[in-house]
Amino acid sequence: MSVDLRTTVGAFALVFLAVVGVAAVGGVVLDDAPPETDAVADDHWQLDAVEPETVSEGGEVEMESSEPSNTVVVHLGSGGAGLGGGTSILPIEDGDSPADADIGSVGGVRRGVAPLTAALVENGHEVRFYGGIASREPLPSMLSDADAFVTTSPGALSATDADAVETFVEAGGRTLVASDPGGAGALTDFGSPFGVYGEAGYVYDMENNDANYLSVLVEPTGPGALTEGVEQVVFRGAAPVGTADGPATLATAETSRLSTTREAGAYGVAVRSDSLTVVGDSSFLEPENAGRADNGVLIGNVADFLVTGETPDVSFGPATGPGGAVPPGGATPPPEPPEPSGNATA
Amino acid sequence: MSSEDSPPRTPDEPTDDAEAASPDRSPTATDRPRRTADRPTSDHASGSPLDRIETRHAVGVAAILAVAAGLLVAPGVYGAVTGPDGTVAVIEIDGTIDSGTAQHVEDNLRDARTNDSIEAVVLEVDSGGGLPAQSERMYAAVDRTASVMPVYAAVDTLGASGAYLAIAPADRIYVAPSAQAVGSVGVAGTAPAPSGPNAGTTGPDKAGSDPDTQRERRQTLANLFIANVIEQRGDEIELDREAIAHADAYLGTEAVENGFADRFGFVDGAVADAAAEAGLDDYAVDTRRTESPVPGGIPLLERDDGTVVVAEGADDEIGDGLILAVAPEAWDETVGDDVVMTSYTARLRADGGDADAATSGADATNDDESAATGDDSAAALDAAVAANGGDGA
Repeated sequence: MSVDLRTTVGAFALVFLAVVGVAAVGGVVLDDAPPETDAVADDHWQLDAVEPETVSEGGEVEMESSEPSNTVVVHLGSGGAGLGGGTSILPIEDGDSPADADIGSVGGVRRGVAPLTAALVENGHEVRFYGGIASREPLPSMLSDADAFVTTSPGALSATDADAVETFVEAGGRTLVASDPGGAGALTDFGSPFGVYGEAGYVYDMENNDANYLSVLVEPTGPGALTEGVEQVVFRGAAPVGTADGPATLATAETSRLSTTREAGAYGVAVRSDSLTVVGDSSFLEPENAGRADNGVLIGNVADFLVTGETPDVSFGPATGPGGAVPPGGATPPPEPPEPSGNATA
Repeated sequence: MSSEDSPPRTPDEPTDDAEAASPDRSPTATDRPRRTADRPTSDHASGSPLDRIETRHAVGVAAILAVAAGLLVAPGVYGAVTGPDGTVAVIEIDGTIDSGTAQHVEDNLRDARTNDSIEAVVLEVDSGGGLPAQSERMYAAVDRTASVMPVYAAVDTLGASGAYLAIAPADRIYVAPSAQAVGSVGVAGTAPAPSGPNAGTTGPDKAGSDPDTQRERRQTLANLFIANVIEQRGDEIELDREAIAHADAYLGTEAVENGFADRFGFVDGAVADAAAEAGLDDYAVDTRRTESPVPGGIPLLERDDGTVVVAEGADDEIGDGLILAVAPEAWDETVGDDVVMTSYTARLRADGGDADAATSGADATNDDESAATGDDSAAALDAAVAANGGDGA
């Protein structure tokens, strides 16, 4: 029995080891590892390969003129009221969501023109905001005392106000209309007496832009007071505008396209007709954009445009005499001519 | 066993047994007489009859065991002879792309690579995109798998934006001729906006970076997307980079024409072609669908008391603070109604209380709703960059 047991156990062990050994050897010999996969190419993921091209930071807002104090009325439209545009709508200054920003907020609509108004006040001029028909003082009354008028939302002007501005422009009151895309109808309605019109759609540029197809690069078409020292400005959303009098003051690059036609070409986005300047964009006035490219230089030139020239001879009904109002500071001696521009920033 | 063994051994070893047994068993008086009494029987049985019976038994048992063993082995052999040469895995990419989608695709593609029986993969696609990074995960998994086996993709209605990024490395893309969105190579999100002072954050960029940086990062994500598509399908797509960057979503019939897809077809055709490409004459199909807990897509919610109610279904929407690789066709189901892709020129307000989209694309506003929902991101806005916002409806 003991011999049998030993033999049996031996046989078992032998067979067992043989089976396991064959399995092990066979596994080593026959097993094929999962196939080698190719690594995923990642060269095109490097930041320098995909980082968008952007414009450089440009010049500061500087006024050249040394005009005596002028009064500039600024109209921004009520928040989002105008289909025709207006500056960006931001949380109102006294917002009621303190949990989010209990020590302040981004600011209201007026921040959208802060670089311009700051430059005007810094240079001794007066800025008055007109908040629409709900304002205490009607626009005609304000304009009768004003030298210049700015609106970023022509479509938000009531018919009466639009007529008043028209009269003001005809009387030589310097007026800046910044009309964003979407405001072509209102702009044409307002500007047609002066040969100025807006086109539907927006201009975009897939090739030359400031990190977004809507942020088109705009260049002067020729020398002029508005574009002195300006090589390139950035509009975050540009509406094409035109004038019957000649070429545009500012135009987009040849690579830009009009949204409605997709046609490539240089589109006029700013025009000037005597005392009226129309820009198809209000974003360049915003504090975040004033430092991009030469936007600041353009804002400075716009400020100079607003305060340089004759005091408009305008009257609106009984509010002022037929001889027109004499604005504060209007009785001062004739202003000195503006210094030749020597904008160091280029 | 021992009882069976002892009778044959007894007659075979009479001498040994006697010699060995005598010293051992001598004390046992009763043993010897019994054994001697047994012996004549054994000697008698050692003749042919018992032997033949035992042999017959053994043969019978062996035969039965052999049949049993054969029956055990036969199916395997039969299967090996008649079964498929390999498997084509059909992996679904469905709905908004988020982590779950990416994990599903990654897991199944990894399984396809490591499972010897899977020889080819077909991606069954109906998705309008989702999160860019999750789309990239799938992109990488598809690319890796396509380097070792045929990976084909079949698109029905939607194979756009993030979903198109995911299938771009596939060896071949089939589309239904009536597919409605193939391509859409771009990203979308809320418009860049500045953030105000916030005492709840430890740095000015904690609530959101400045608008210029937001704009640049969005464009960087778009450029990554475009670069991936050109890397994978630059030879096939007949449009230049600018045209791709327009981010249009094409019909299936257009996609085959312009190279965003390779040919018309559906899943079955793709499976057959993938099997042929892998050299499989005879193949099985293993379909890996995304887990859909409820048929019909109605989201149900189980309460604590065990009852099941229909949930609002807003839980699986992606937050609107993120930049998304989503086609306009899939925008609403991806982020819900909070973020509306608005046309740049058609800025009609949905309701009077909310602020409008900012035309500049640079600024917009936190509306009351987003503040109420606790979204403290500066990007909680109601405007989104969209070339053709009208398509988003």
